[in-house]
Amino acid sequence: MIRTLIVLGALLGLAGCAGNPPMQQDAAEGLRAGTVAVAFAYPEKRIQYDELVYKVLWNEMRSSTASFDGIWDIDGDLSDQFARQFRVEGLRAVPLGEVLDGATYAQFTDTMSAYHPRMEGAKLSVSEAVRAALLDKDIDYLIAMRAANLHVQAFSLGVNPHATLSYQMNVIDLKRNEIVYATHMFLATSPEVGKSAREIEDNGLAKLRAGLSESLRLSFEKDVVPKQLGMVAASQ
Amino acid sequence: MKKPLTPVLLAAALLAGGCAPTIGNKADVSTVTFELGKTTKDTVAGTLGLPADITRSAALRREYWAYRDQPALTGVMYAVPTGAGTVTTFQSSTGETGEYQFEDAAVVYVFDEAGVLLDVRKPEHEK
Repeated sequence: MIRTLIVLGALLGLAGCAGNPPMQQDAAEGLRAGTVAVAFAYPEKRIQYDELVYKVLWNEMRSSTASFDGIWDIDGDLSDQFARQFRVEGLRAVPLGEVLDGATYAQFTDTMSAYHPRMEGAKLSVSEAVRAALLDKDIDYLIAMRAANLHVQAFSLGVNPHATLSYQMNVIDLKRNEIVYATHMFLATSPEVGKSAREIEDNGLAKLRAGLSESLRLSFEKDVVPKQLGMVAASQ
Repeated sequence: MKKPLTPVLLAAALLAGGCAPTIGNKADVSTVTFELGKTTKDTVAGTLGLPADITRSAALRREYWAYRDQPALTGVMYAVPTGAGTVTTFQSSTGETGEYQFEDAAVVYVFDEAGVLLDVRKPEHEK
């Protein structure tokens, strides 16, 4: 029953993403014609666990965090995979880390650290040095994705945990120095565990990494991301 | 005449029953021990799970892994019968968010650049 509700919730969530207005057609055409750098950033490198603990007469809500800073290069992994998926869709996409030198890339990560998409009025603005370096390399667009939170909901009744990585996607036209599209999306997975949700941390977070990677792959296979970026008709 | 123990036992069972949180450390940080100069970050992560917080000192060339002793209690939910066949659910927050704060550390493991354990600090014991 609980499992069914979780799956239903995830489907409703995905449907919600698909309900966001897609990128305008002229902007989408520009993106398809240009060269694109792709960057995913989650500067906090942290898992937020929440659990509803059944206590017979009441339920407790418990929370904890786990840092994977220096243990999993989530930015590198997801930037690479997004770039690969975008290339499959026909974009000339390359991970940002392959285009910028170390110092300029560090500037970009500082910008992403200071940008909190959940804060009211938050707007991403890349530094002039980053923009100039990208234009110098003939990059026309930057797809910058900023994860807001990696949340794991655990259940004390033998149900697998549900992990959600929500992120804000901004498409920046570098020549015009303008955000031409922004939307909120997420990746989700329910890794199989034995007794504790924290088993997702085993073997360098292998289960979590595999699950999020599969969710990313599916978000392209099911046209969730391509539809948002106007690569396929939204009505399909 | 002895009083029947059943209500007392029932109340105790209800209070003590239920589940324990599963999102805490994999082992009790107050009892687990590691060997200075030998234990690696991988071993600590494998034994306890990942730390609540990781910080680094470039100047000292040290990495600090901080663990809480247990997950934070952020709220309680309970149901109260409010009429024939009706139950109302109440929720109260403790004000905690679960976000790690420096004072939450029950133990801090200090590693060198090679990821070998150099020191173990228990802030509560140092007060």
